[in-house]
Amino acid sequence: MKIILFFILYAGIVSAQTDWIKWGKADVDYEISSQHQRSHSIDDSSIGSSILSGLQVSYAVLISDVDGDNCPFYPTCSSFFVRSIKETNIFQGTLMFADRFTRDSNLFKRRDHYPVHYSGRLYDPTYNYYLDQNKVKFYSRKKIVE
Amino acid sequence: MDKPILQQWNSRYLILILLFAVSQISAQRVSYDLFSPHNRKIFGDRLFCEKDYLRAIDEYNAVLNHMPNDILQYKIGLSYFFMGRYFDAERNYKKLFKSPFLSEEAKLEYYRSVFYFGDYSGFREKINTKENFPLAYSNELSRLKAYSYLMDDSTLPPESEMLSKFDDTDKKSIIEFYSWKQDPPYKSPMKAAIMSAIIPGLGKVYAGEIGDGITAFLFTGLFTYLAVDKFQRDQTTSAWLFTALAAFFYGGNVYGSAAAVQNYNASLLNSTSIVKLSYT
Repeated sequence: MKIILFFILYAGIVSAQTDWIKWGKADVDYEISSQHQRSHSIDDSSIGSSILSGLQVSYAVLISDVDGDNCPFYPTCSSFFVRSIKETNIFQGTLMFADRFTRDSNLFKRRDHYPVHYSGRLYDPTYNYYLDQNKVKFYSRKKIVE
Repeated sequence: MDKPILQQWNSRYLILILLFAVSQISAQRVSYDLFSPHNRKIFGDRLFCEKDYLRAIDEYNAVLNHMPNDILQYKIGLSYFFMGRYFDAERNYKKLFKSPFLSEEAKLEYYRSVFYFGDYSGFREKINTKENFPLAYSNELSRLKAYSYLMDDSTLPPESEMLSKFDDTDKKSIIEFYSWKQDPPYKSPMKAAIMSAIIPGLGKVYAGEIGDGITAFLFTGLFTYLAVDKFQRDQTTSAWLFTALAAFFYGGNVYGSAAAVQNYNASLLNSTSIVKLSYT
């Protein structure tokens, strides 16, 4: 009886102990956590959409989710690529994406050149790059775009 | 003999001490109401000076619940105006239209709020109908009306009619904006595309995107150099890869230059920030 009581007491004390995990320096992680849940579904409405969404999901899973939510623009470059191809054609969409990639890689100050989206990113919609002056929309740099 | 004098002095001394003590005690007993209308007004003025307009409005409204005060009502309107809440400012100024000594100023600020709200055609319509028009400030409103033509896409009045409202110090900048509005300095997307086709990035610089132009030049130049280098070394696989990348960035640069100029032209159509308002 005494042994059982002793064992119960000992088990309680042992399970209460948590300090065998050594405290150590934590590695700092500067990765920006994703603010939104990305959809990883494939759009199977057509072969082209399937390939496009497949490429986007592959990029998202293999590169973007690992690298972090770093794109300063809204929509992000991968979303911009998909939207531009859907709204125009593969050739024009690719050129739009090439231009967007170049602007994203711009090392110089560019905050003044784009309006700010309410998500905190720079607002850079696809319809401003269709080469159709009637569809280009200018946003005041002083206001936040919703 | 000394004793009565001494007694007199003692009693006088005692009375003086008592008077002094009573005055000290009565000074301590003065009650201080922090939330009196007077104190709230002072606090509101302090907040207003520190540009804490929202809290200043709360304090002024608390004072106005006790007693009407046209100046505070006016300052509430000003606070809303400075916060950019022009519709609320208009609403406040309307309450002062019948004020005995702030009516004209309130009407002027009302019109100013309507102008800043951005409904320029509505603003001009109100002025034309002379609705609650402040006669003492008709010159200021005439100038504002002239400015409103520069702020939207409506047909500009003749230049002479525009300039007649302004004095010589302002005429030069008004002429400049008037000419700019009549004939905006649009740029040609085709020209930008051709410039970028010849020298990558030059079209972007022409559109005002200097950083983007330099980046496009560097990318295209780098991949072109790598492609040429690989071809010279007979490393055809990587050479074609770099060629594809160079073509990708080159095509994007030409396309993007034309798009950048279109964005620039759109900003000219919509830009009102360069119109500086001088207001007396």
